[in-house]
Amino acid sequence: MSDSQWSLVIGLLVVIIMRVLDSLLPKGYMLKWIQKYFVKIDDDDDDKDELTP
Amino acid sequence: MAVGVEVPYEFMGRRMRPFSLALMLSTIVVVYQYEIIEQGPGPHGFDVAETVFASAAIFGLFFGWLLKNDDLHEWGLILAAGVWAMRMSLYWLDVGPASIGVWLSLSWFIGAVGAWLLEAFDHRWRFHLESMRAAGE
Repeated sequence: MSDSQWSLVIGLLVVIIMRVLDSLLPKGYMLKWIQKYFVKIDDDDDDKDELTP
Repeated sequence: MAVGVEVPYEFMGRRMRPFSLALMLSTIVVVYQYEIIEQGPGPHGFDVAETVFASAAIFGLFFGWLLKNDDLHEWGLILAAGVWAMRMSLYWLDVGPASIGVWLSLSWFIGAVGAWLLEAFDHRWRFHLESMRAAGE
């Protein structure tokens, strides 16, 4: 295959991989270690509440 | 409750998306390079394919924002990532890794993928984070 054809294949692969990755992203739940280490839950004050992943 | 990161300002009643605007403009430059001044590497067939890809990305980014359609906007980000990956690989293969085009394209590629990840995270996990907090977990 020529350089330009390889480039087209790579571009298409990127789109396909991102869509597959999207389908694998958790919907409605998350890994416990993400919840434990990356999610800040602050219930003290509604005005200041932020969940920062 | 705030979850994720959103710019608190609006333009024409829509969320401001400065990075998407920058990505759209840079992708328009790709179309300009290939179709108007015709200075891109690769044969004409590649130019056409890249232009179609880039036009779809521009369409998704612009109308996703205009119509407040997050799915369409996400498609714009994904297609833009594809456009920049395509451009980066062609410069690498055709001109060589010392080409500026490789590294400029890599930068925009990383930006597009990163922006898409943030959007996807926000859309997929926001509901769970909010419900988790409501349940007092």
